[in-house]
This record gives sequence, C-alpha cells and structure tokens, in this order.
Amino acid sequence: MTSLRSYSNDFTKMVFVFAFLATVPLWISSVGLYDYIAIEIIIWCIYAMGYNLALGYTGLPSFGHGAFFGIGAYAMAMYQVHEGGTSLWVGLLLSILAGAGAGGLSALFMSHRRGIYFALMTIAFGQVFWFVAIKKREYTNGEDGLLNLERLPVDFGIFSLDVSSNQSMYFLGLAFFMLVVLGLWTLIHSPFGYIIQSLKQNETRTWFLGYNVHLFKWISFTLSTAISGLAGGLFALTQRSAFPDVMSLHWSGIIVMMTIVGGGLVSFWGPVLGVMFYFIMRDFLGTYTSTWILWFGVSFMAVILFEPHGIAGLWMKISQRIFKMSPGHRLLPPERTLVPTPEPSNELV
Amino acid sequence: MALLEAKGIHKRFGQQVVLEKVNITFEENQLSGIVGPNGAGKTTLFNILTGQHWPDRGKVFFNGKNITRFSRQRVARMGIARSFQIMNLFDDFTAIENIMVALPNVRQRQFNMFMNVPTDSAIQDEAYEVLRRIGLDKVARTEAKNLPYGKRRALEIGVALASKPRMLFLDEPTQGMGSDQMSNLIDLVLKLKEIVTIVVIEHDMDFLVEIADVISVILWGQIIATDAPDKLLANRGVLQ
Ligand SMILES: Nc1ncnc2c1ncn2[C@@H]1O[C@H](COP(=O)(O)OP(=O)(O)OP(=O)(O)O)[C@@H](O)[C@H]1O
Ligand SMILES: [Mg+2]
Repeated sequence: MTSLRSYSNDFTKMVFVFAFLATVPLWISSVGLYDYIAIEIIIWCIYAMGYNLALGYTGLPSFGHGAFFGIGAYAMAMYQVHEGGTSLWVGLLLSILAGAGAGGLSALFMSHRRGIYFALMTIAFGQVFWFVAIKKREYTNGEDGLLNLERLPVDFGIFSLDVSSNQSMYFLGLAFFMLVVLGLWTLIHSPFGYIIQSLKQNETRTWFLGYNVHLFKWISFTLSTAISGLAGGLFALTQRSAFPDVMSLHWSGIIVMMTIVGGGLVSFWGPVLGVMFYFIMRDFLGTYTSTWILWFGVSFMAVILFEPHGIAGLWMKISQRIFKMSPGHRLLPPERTLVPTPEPSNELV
Repeated sequence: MALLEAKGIHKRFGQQVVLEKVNITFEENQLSGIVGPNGAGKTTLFNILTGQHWPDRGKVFFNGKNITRFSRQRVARMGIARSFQIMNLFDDFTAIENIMVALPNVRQRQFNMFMNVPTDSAIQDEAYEVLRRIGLDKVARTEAKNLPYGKRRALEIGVALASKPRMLFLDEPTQGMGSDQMSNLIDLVLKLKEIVTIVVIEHDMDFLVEIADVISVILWGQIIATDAPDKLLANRGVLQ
C-alpha cells in the first residue's frame, strides 16, 4: 500500500540519520574536530528538536528557552552537589521535571497570548529565571557556577556503563536523542500533532473544531521545556558543571537562530541541520577567524531574506527540481484516484 | 421542537446596538436562510449562536438544552459547525489534512499518542468520503493555499461538514463566486440538506430562493419577516 511505502520511506530516513550519527566518533578527529564537539552537537540537537515542537509545530515564538535548558542543568548539578546524588536516572528525571515545571508554570501565563505578546512574555520569564540563577548564590553559586560534577554511570541494575570518556558520553547523548526523536515523531503524527499544527495556522478555526487551543499550547510548550531540561541535564554532565550563561537572552537567541537556519519551520529534521551548521561553522571558521559569529549572523539574515525555510527548505527545493521528489516534509495519506466514486464528483472549479 | 432556538437576543458593541430582541428558530432537517443588507447583524447572530460572542441578554437553546454561555469549542462538540465569511482554512495543510483534523474520530482521540493519523485507514476512508461529497477528492493532497478560489470555498464547507454536525451554519458561501461556481454550490448545498440541518447567510436573495425552505429577513438588528421563499417574494415590494 502506498501509505506503508511513504511511511517506511520516512522511517528509512530516520534510520539513516541515526546510523550516520552513530559513526561520528569513528571519523570526527580525522576531519580535525575534537570529539567533545560531537557531544555538544548531539545535546543541542535534543534541545533544538524539543524547541521546534514549540516554534515550528505550534508556532510559539519562545525567546527564553535557554532558561529551561539552564534549569535542567542546575537540577542535575544541585542534585549532585547539594544532595550528593549518584543516580544518573534520578538526576535526569529531576532535570526533565525541573524544565517541565518551570516551563509549565510560565506557560500558565502565556498560553492565552499570541504573537509579539507571547514572545515578550517568554523573554520576561527567561530573564527572571536567569536573574534568579545568578542571585541565588547559596543554591547556584552565582556566576562561578556549580563545578566538579560526576559523569554518573549509566546503571542498568545488573550492569552499568561508564560514561567518563567523551566517546561513551556521546553514545549516551545519542541514545537520548533517538528516544526524543522517536517520541516527537510519534507525537506529531498523532492527533495532538495535527491539532498543534492547526492552531499554529488558525486559532479561531481550531477552537471551532472543538479543541481547547489554550490547553494544547500549554501542553506543547511544557513538553518542549521538558526536553530542554533533559538536554540541560546532559549538558551539565558533559561539561561537569552548570553555569547561568546558557540561560541568558543571548543563548536563548542562538537556539532560535539554529532552528530557523536549519529549517525547523518546514522540516522535522531542520533543527538538526541548524545545530550542525552552527557548530561546524564555529569550529571550522572559528579556527581561522574570531568573527565567525558575525558570519553566522549574516547567514541567519540571508536565510530570513532569501530562504525563510532554511537549509531544509533549500534542500526540498533542490530535491524537487532535480529528483522530482514530492514536497514531503510530513507524511501524507496516499492518493486515492483509483477508488471508484459512488456518485459523480460535483466540481466547484 | 425546533433544533435550535434563540430567544430575545440583544447584542451591543460599545454604544452600537447590533442585535435587538431577536427571536429565531431553526427546525430540524430544514434549510433556513438569513438575508439582510451589509451590517445588518447577520454574522453577529451566527457568532452568538456558535459561541464566538455571548449575548448581552437572551438565551440560546440547542436540542432543548440551554447553551447560551457555552464556549466555542463546547458548542462545536455539541454538534454545531460553521463556515466563515472570511476564508478560514489551515492554509499549509493539504485538503485532506484540513478535513482530518475536523473528524470526530480524531477529536475523540485527541490525546491518543499512538494513533498515527496519516496512515490510519479508517480516518482516510472518512476523510475521502467528505472530500468526495464536496468534489475535492482529486485534489486531496494539494495544499489549501494552492487551491483555486471555488475549491477553497468548498473546502471551507467541507471542514465544517467533516465534524459530522447536526447543524451547519454557512456564512455567505457564495461570496466572490461566478455564476457557474454558484450553480455547483447550489447542487452541493441541496445534497447536504439531506443529511444535516443548515442555516445559510446570504446577500443574494436569488441563491436562497433556490435552496431554502424558509427565509428570515434581518434589518438593523431585527428580524422583520420570516416566511417561505415564494411568499416572501410575493411581498418583495414591502421589504424594499
Ligand atoms: N466584534 C465586533 N466589535 C465591534 N463591532 C462589531 C463587531 N462585530 C460586528 N460589529 C458591528 O456590528 C455590525 C453588524 O456586523 P455584522 O458583521 O454582523 O453584519 P453582517 O450582517 O454580517 O454584514 P455583512 O453582510 O457585511 O457581512 C456592524 O456595524 C459591525 O461593524
Ligand atoms: Mg457578515
């Protein structure tokens, strides 16, 4: 059946992405990059995929997502430093819950807002959380950060895996990336995914179809911040510390730029492309010039001006022209031209 | 008993009284028309009956139940669907996706994570059934924004129809249509009339006369006449 084929096509793409990412540690140093950057990329991919649930799929322009990433990092750090925690699972669970808790609380005040008002509120909440992180020194140690975290072992009861090497830490990140991708993939093809995409396009119509738009915005935002929290927790493990800087407006802006440059507005994989583009620019260009961030900014402007659908959008255009591929950035039900119509179609040309 | 009944509806925006003591009933399985000049309050009446606005005074009963201060989505869930005067589609969705989100079978499972909407064959069957009714099955996979005007209008009706409503409100479905498209629309509405109770707002009396069982005339926020089309036509002079 056509539907199965198009479904498996997209599945093939996913398997390909996973397989490609699994090979990264094998060749990354031979192209002149540190293996540490691979972990950064995979963690920011998790973060960006979660962010895109809000921005790309629900149309919620959040400029304060860094706060939730940072809160996830602090949850992991405080669990280790203040509580002496040693379980990876508990630490990451706390990261997720902290991200979701802070996000869910903020979203209570935002889910009935739209456009610029929504955006301003996300900035306000982001700034508040950032400010608290800097000022509450007794918990966060302010700008000096919480240091000397352990990369807690991945404990499965009967055996446990050590992630103190960068390579094994990368595979831990990849495992979570795969879980997040599968979860998001399932979610966006479920009714929930269609409803958030509907309200992104037209809130009024969505209300009139009988859906509680505010509730869906709240859930989507909160899920997105839960994923940010997870990414933050992994980030704290990776760099063995937690600092407030990732919570700043600056870093919140970077995730927006990555997602848009990559093409998150039209593509499931767009955020991944954007994250890779950013880090590769930073590490390749950064070795030649310290103004690489300027060039990243210029590329962001170029995207906004010439190709608002980003790298993924460009790729779709090219693949449509060259390979005559259908504009399939999401699954579509199969065509049914062969089904006999019971009565003549009444054409409204 | 009437399927929907509005009693003593008042509505004002600021100083402007838009609806005044409006009483109107819609019988089950009938097609009712509402005509009136620009700014008479037709759309406002629809907005009140479908939960978009709440009346300042008066009550709305659906199937005997008082739904006066229900929210939009609650009214929708009770089986009242509408189309809009200004086109209100999900433009980036294909035609079939526009229909799918509106299906009750999707709505009832709105929190079911494990339902895969695009590959669910029962959902496809239902969606294609609706598309066939409105004559859009051949453009199922075209994005709404790329459909020609008449097809977009039809899809607008299709989305309302997809929710399997008991009652369907159409706000000026002929707006911007040529006469060919109009006669197709008449065919479509007459077909729909067999399965759902319909209320149509129109400027164009000629269109309504062809399809309606009963027509109400609204002027300056008041219903000034309600009658069968032929009787109304006989009194046309009076109305003007
Ligand atoms: N939300 C609103 N706020 C303020 N005034 C409104 C609002 N909605 C409608 N009005 C006013 O109420 C009056 C009736 O408007 P309505 O849209 O109901 O007219 P209509 O009969 O549908 O006209 P048309 O044939 O042009 O669609 C108009 O004067 C309009 O300006
Ligand atoms: Mg109107």
